[in-house]
Amino acid sequence: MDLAPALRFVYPSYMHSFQRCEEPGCRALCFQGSNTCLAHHASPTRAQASAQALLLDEAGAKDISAAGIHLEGIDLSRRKYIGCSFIGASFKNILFTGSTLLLCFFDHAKFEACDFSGVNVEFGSFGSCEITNVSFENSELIHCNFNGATIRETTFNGSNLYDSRFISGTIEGSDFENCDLKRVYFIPAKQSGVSFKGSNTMEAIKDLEHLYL
Amino acid sequence: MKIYQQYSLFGFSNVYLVGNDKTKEAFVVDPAEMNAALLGHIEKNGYALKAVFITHNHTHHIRGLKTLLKIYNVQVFAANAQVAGFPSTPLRDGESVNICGFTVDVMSVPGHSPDSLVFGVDGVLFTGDALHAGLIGKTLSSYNAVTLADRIRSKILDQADEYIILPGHGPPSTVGTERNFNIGLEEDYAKRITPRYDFFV
Repeated sequence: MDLAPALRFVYPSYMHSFQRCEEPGCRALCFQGSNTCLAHHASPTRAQASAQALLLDEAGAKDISAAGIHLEGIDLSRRKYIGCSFIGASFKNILFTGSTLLLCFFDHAKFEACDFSGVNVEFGSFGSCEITNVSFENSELIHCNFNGATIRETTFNGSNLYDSRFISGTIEGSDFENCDLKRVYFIPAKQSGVSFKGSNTMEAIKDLEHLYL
Repeated sequence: MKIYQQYSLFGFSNVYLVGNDKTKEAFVVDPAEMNAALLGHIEKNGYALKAVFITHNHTHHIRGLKTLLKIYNVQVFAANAQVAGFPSTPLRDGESVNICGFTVDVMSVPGHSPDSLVFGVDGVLFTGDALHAGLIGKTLSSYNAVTLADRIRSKILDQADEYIILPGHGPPSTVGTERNFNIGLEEDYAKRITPRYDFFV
């Protein structure tokens, strides 16, 4: 047995803060550097600009709490993000090309026309995201959660999706060609126009009869 | 809080090392494998390993316990008084353990196994095999599946949407995503499954 992958799968991660918004009745997480969430922030524009500056740092970022942030038309390629929260965020025309994302959470986020090609995402969550016209080509998407995600006009061609999950979501007009689907749970609620040409679909788990947990 | 996740090829399990950089203390959740990489992370960070938390007593989650206990003198916490022949401190539902500068909340979520526990630390839930991303743990009967789903609804899904789920197998998730998209929590799930033992690990 080749033990090299096991040694590689060790992720140092600082987790983002779970401090709650100070606004009475609000259960949202505090935005980066603030005691409130983005919606209750005194100056949301300034808070977003401040968080965006942290994300643009060429060295990458750790432990950023950017829930609800809206980013458009910026280049975040070849950076390394560890333990960051982008829950409920929206991304439009963003380049993540060649970036590394470890233990990052994008649940309920929206992605439109973004480029994740050549990205290395390990142990991340894209649960219940809306992903439209996005490229994940030639990427490492290992232990990633796409459950409940609505994926449209998106390509995963040439990617390694080892141990990722696509459960209960909607996948339309998207390609998973020449992918490694070993241990991938592929049980979407709705699927149409999806191509698996050249992928090892026999190694994916496509029904409840073959769960092995 | 600093978390390391390690993927063990033995049983395809997740091992978690939770460290506190202020106190320089750490604990491990489910030592499926104790290898040089994990040992290196403990030592390079200068952590004093204080405890091991066991979500449930299945071999592929505790296989590394023996090695770990040869190296470190730590307290073992589990549902029972003994794990793999080693003494442990039994935990009960609703208990909290203050260790390494963290408060670890204990939730009993039986169904996958009678001794299944979930540990909550500062917005992160270590769910073991009780709850995975998109699925609930494998059960040996539909009765257990219903029991497990009920316990998950009452103890885990009442947490905030943003709380993070770090399971014993597979990718991470959040409470909000599981509440809406977990197949195992659908009403007719217990009727749809056919218990099979050959794939059970």
